[in-house]
Amino acid sequence: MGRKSGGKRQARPQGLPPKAKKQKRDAGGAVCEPISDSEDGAVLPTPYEYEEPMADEELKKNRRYDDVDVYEYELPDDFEDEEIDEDAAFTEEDKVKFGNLFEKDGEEGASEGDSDRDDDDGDIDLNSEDEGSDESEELDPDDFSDEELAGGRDETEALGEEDESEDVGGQDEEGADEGEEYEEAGGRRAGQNEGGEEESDEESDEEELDEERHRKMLEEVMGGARGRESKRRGQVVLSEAVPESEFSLNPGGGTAGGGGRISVADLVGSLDGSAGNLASLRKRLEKVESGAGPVSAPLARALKERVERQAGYEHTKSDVAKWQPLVKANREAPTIVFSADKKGTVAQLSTAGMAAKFVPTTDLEKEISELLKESGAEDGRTVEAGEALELNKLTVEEVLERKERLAKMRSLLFQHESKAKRVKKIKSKAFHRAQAKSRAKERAKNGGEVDREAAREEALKEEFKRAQERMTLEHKNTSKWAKRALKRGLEAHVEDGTREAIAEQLRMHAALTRKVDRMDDKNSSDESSSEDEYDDVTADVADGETAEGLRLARETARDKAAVLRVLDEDPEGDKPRKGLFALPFMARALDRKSQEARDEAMALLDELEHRQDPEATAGNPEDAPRGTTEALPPGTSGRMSFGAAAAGVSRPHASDDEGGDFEGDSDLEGGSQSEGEAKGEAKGEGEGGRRRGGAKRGPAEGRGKVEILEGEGELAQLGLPGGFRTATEGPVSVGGGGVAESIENGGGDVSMEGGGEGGERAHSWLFRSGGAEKSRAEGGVADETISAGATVKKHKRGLNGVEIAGVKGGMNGTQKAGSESLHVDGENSAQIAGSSEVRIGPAEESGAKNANEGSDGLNARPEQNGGVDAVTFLEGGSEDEGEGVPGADLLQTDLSQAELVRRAFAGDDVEADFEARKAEMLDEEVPAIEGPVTLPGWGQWTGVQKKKGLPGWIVKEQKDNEKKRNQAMAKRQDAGRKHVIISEKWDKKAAKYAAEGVPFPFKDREAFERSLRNPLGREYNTDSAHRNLIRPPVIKSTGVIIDPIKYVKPEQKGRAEKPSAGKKGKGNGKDTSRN
Amino acid sequence: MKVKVISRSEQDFTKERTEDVQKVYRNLDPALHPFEKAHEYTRALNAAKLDKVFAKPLIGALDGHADSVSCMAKNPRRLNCLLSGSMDGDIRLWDLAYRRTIRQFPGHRGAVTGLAVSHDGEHFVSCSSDCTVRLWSLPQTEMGEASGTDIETQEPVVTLQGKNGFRALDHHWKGPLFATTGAQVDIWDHNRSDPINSFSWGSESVISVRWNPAEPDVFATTGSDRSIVLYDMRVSTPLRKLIMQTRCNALAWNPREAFNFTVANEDCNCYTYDMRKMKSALCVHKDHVSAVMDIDYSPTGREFVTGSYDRSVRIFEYNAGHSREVYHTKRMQRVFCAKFSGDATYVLTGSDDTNIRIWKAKASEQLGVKLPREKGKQAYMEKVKQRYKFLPEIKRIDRHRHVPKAIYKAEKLRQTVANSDRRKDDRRKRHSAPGSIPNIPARKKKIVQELE
Repeated sequence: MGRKSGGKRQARPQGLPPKAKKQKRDAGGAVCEPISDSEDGAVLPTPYEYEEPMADEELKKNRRYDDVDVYEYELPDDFEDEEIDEDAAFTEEDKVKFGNLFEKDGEEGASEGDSDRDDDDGDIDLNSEDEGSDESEELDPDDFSDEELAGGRDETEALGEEDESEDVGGQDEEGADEGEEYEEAGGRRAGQNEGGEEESDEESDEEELDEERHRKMLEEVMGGARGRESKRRGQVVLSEAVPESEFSLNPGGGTAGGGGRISVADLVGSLDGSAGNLASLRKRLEKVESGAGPVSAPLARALKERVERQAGYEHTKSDVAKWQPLVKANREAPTIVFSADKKGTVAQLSTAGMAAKFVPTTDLEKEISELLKESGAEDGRTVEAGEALELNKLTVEEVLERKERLAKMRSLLFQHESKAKRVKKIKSKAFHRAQAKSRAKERAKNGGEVDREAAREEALKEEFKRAQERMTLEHKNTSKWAKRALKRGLEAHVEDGTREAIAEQLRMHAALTRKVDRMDDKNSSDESSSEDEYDDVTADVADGETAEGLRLARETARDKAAVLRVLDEDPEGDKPRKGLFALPFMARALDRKSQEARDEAMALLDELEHRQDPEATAGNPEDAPRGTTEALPPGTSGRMSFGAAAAGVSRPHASDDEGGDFEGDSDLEGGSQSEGEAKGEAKGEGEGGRRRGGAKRGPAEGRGKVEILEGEGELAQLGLPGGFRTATEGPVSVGGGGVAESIENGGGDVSMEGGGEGGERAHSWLFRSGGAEKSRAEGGVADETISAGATVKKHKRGLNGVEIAGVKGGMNGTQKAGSESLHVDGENSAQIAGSSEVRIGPAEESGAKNANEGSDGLNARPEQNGGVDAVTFLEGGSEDEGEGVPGADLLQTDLSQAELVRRAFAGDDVEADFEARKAEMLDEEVPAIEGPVTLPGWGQWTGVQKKKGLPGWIVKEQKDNEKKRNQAMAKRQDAGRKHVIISEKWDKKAAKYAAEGVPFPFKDREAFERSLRNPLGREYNTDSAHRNLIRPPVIKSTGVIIDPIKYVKPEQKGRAEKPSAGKKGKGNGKDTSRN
Repeated sequence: MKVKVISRSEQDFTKERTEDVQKVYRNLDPALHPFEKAHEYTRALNAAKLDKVFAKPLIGALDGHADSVSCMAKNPRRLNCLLSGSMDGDIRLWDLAYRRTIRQFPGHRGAVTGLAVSHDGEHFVSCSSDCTVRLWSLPQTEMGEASGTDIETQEPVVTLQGKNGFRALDHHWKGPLFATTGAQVDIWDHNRSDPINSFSWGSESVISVRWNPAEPDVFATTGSDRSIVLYDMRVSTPLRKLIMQTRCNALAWNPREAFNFTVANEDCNCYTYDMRKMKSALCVHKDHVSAVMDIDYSPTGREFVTGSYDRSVRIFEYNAGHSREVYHTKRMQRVFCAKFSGDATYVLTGSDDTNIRIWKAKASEQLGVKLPREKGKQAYMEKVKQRYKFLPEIKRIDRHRHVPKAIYKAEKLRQTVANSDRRKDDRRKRHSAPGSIPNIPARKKKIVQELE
């Protein structure tokens, strides 16, 4: 153990003291017990090191010259010392098995104490000579004669020494030779031995001589046998697979079975009952094993102090850590107060507080309190509780009823819940769609007013979905799946439903994006109707009208539109020219049929128009439909007749009206013209709020119905009573004739849409009278379509080129009236109510006023007053695409949004403007550098300069300047940005409000600016806020001594310092003891 | 229809007394107050300017010592009481309110190096380079004008003899103990003639000592071996030693933060440390241009005052890298000791010119009793100034201090040196392998070693 590997000559880590060496030597020389050498028995020689077994003859030889026989163990009779071939002695298996084991052993030993190990060296070597196999029971160390052991030992030692001496330089030849030989064979061993001996240089010469002699003697005796042996030995060593080292002393060794380690007990076990010194050895061994070694020497003072300091520091550190929360709180507090007068504050007294402290002193007080106590009412709370108890009493019936009610409620709730659950589980989309529809219907039925909010929300949601779809195009086969499916071909997916899914997607896309080109497919299908609804809703929202009215109006409008379409159909237009239907009788039958249809349609139209009236005349139900005033007999309401009569008439007349002013429009009323007065009623019905009327209006499809009344004569013609006439004159005079002028000014065509209706009467008369002289051309165009009104609003911005001179009397003048009127006749035949006043200037006010006055004239109640609603679009004629689509039509015709925008911004070159502005700004901020110029007239008389141009240096300078300017421009932040102007002008006045960079405590500019945002002054804050804002971080008062911080246990529990609570308590006490 | 009319009750607007303040009704509608930022900016600017106008920090000088003032002590119990010791062994008790000496304590034959008043304010101890420590009783009564003009003298209660001269002294904050330093650190009890405990770590002399006000058993010393040493009475050994590049002349514990202390270093800077983490300073306070001789924390723990060999006194915020105030006068020489008053309102400095000076801790503060409105106004102005102090003009005015030419030049020089050092360092880094030259922060740069 503890040997160095290889044959190198190395110093041992810890020197063997000479004394020990000597002892060893003595023991080895004289005594035969192999292990007695190990001084304290801590480590015993391992007898299992493999060595070639010595031949019998050699043993005998040895015995020949030394016949001391100290065998303590008798070999059994049948024992055969089989000769093991050196190659076969150690199988691979063994090596594998024991190699590690011995390495471990070696390590263990190495840690145990070096001097002892050194002592063992010799013994191990000696023993190993004879122990070739791993049968430990057979090859006990005691087996061998001590003389042999001694001899062997001597040999090795001598060898080692010789080796050494050789190195030193002086030794006899023979020894050297032998040494060499041994180097080959057991070089490792020799070297190892040497390690120990090197250190004991001072070993006596005498000893050396002794050994020398001994060795010579051996040589003499043994003769050539040694040579053989050495050769064989060499082979043995070479055969070891694992190099011998301090970690693998004896690669083949180990106890029987090979698995266990050799314990001290194993080795000492055989010493039982031996001589006295062995017993003491055992004792010592036991001591070592029990671990009770000698007390270690105290640490050096410096080390000890350091350890103490470390411990003390850790302790103090953890102790002061208790301050951490306090310190943190102090640091983070916006204000810390060191004023002395904290205690001096007087507690606020409250009634409750005073009452609680009250002690009865006088007799009366005592008596009263006694009484109160007796009655259990000494405390307000008890009194209250008693009262509550009394009040809470219920009769049996009440309780029962309550119980029943609750039970019912509960069961209802439960049913509802379970139903909802069941419905929710149904996966059918169709079902849900149907559900939704029915729900919507339900909602519509019981009052749109109630859930106007809901409708609005719904609308918003819808709109959002549409916008989303437009942005993402999610359903336009853009997904990976859809693309792939399409790529593969739809035919491939016939059976798996992909096709349907794609179709569904496309349908959804169409549905969601339809809004964009709504105007195009307005009159197509159900969806459009739903969108109408949506539109109406928004209009409603915008104008504050009731949803109910809208709905009704819309429905009526639609119906009416359908009816009118039927009416409008050219009876001749779709007549078959040939075939069966062209036969005369068939034609006749068809004619008859169509005539019937038209009649029916007419009747229906009437009915539709009637439909509005009851609602309009909520106040006086019986004669409401007709009576504009009391004077007006029920039957004389012009509207009915107008509606019927003018519908047919108006269009043809309108077509030849070319003037573009309203006078022209007045033709609309057809044959009923009187000079100076015109009553026109243009009644175009279209579906979806479109109206096309008038010459420029192209195909008459407008939903609007224009009724123009002018002058009394007209009214007379209409058979209106005088009273009515006079009534109408009032408003007219107010309205003035602005319209005509405005229209003329506009130069284009005029379309007026009046959403206004006569309030209660709702006869929507357009009192356009305005006196004969004034009202040459005043048109009140009442457009019943609310949606149109809404659209107007919507597109107000878009219609740039169109001047909007809208008098939204009915809607704006009196909101209530407006809404009511809407109620009354959404669509119905352009119920032009009151007088619709069209003006360019202060149109709204006049409209409102007009409405009022008009209604006054009509003796109508003020709140039922027909509002005037006239929205006039004066459109530049140029933009009107020749056919002269009027403004109202513009709104209502099928124009896509893009088109609208394009038109709206037609004359507007915004980009060019912007660029010009940017260039201007650049000129200002990066001015052109003034370079040298030629003096005017300089050199001109010679003509030289003209010929040569500017001198080179001037040109150069100019170029340089230009370049510099370009560079400066390129450096600007907005250099590469076409649509941005970033001013880099240094604003001196603003500069004083800007800090350079971000000041230190702030992390970013936002935080800094936030800190400056709210003003502190008392002009900007309430008193308390101001006081809070200006509170200084430290409040102290002069003359008050501030004591050091005192430890207060933090409020929150579960802190880390909990374990040392006792100490803290102590510290706390000390802290507070101060002062 | 209800018509709203403006009506006022006469009573609300009638003053009962002439000094009554009329209630002002304000309309806080922001629309009525545009440009509030501009308004407040202007106010802040005015506040900054007014601060300059009213900045008259020097209140007075206490004249009386015949040699330079080496140490001072304030009474933890009384505000108007100050003790000072000089290089000629003279100890004086001052009545600060009347700015005069009321008693002298003769006895020391060498320079008085340390003075401290006991925790109860009844005694004080002094140490000197003549190897003695004396315990005196502190007169309680004769403060005020009535005590006359003559200066009485007083004998020490106890004189304790040491083997070596003493360099510094500080009194325990809770009990009758005090610590002296010199060749070693000794802990004395008022009632014993021998030190009850002695600490030494290394053989260099210890030049200052300070007890922790919050954690009473802990104290710290600085030594001429450039060390800062922590001690704990309970463990009776030194705890830790920190070696810096230059020595620390004084040390002060933050009275509101038990584990933080600041040292006044020879290298013109002060360093704040957390005693639990001494690997790095918490903050480096720069601005002096010569060695910092003494340091004392304000009792609020938010600022501290330093006296320096460069003839100036500076006040630092506890967490700021630069001073907020610098005080100097033409006649003030090297400052050897500086103290904050117990109410954190005044600063006292003792200097080589044998004078003790009384300064205001806030140069432009209005002393005396203030009306609530005045207080509010000043608080508002201060707050507005604080808010806008980063804006260039206000910053310029607020930060500007006139300093003596010597200090100004020295500052410039130091700046130049620092800049060139930095430049050199940068270049070195640039031309070395990345990471081979570590970037050591200033907070660690001056720390040589932490010994355990």
